[in-house]
Amino acid sequence: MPRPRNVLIGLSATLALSGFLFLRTPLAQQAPTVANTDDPDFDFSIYYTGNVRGNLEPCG
Amino acid sequence: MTENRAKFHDKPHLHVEIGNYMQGMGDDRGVKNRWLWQGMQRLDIQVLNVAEDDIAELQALGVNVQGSDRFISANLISTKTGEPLLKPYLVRQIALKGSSQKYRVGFLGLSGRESFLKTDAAGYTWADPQASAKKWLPELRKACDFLIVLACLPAREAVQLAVDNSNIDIIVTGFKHQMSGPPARINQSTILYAEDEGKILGEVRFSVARGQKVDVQPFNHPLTRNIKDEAEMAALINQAKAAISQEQRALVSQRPPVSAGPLSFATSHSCAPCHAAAFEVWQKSQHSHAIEILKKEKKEFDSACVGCHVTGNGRPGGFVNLNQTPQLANVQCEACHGSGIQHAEKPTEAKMARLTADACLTCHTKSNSPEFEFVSYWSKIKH
Repeated sequence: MPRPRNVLIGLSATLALSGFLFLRTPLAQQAPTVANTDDPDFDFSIYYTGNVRGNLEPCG
Repeated sequence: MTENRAKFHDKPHLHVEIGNYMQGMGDDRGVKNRWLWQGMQRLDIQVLNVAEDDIAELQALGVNVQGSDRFISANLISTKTGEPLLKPYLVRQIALKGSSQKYRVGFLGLSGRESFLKTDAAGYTWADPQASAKKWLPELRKACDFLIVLACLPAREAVQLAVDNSNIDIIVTGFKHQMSGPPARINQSTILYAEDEGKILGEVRFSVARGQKVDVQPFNHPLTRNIKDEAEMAALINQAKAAISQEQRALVSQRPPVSAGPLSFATSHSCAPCHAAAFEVWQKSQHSHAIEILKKEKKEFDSACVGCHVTGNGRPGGFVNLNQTPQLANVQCEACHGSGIQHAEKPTEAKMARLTADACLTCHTKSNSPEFEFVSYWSKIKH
């Protein structure tokens, strides 16, 4: 069984390293989802669709 | 889109397709694709990525895919030349109001294979999408101000694209039966998900600050029944549904009759004498007239829909079609509880298994039944 002091040092080091890695290489971030669809302050739009798979109307 | 265009009539816009718009299976796919293509042409889609089923079905419709200026694919390769069969990318120029500047948006098309067991038709093959991206992205990056990849790929492959390439601004992705998710930022790319079956219209709004970085804002517009149908398109859809239903009926009537074997399903009327209370609950529920819901939509002969509106579809002795097995129409007791033939003959010896909430999820999938929630739905059929 490891001595308590070594376990604590090991755990601290792991946490510190994880935090450092997180700050250096942030994981995928969510884009803001709250936005005003009525706001006219934009230049142009691109609309997209996909995987219609021959369905004129979806199920459900 | 029409509502948005009316609201923002002075804003230029493009409509693009990430792929898998054609139906690749079923003997009714020709008539479905024909009508779908007719509708798509009215939408004036400016860029269409060609995915696995699209190329064969478009060619079957007689569409001149190679001669068109709208289809792209960077990894659909001609076996004759070893080069892309279509343009690997397109650049669309957008005029900005109050400026002589034209903003260039580049689109690269990539597609994945759902089944490696599928063989390619003569004349083309599919290359690895990651390798094709590496080959064509640098050239496109130089030719545009903003680069979008239309990636008809499984989610993990779209993420890999973002991880391996730092020159993509947006990846719009989606794949068969894959549900969408919120936007994600990975490396230098924003990943946006196109909803399965086109249930959500995605929109990206661009604000181009002169000389500075462009700002993009994604939106999702769920295409629910609350949105008013455009009159001309609604008329086309009604025409299409009638024509498709007619052809589906004809196909069904041409199929050889299924030989009558031993009965596999007892039907709900066999359950009624002993389970009167449960039978009454069932009779009042939508399960008991599930086929009528399809008949209203002219889809009672559509194999893509009928399976979840009948009993024993695809099982030995189960529903075949309304002509041959009308007694197995609707979601009867045995659709969920399994065959009750033996239980009906020997009730105390052949017990029926008790079900859990998971039994509902076979048909009430997120795609088909997005509002399904077990507690409230169960309360309508509790027995």
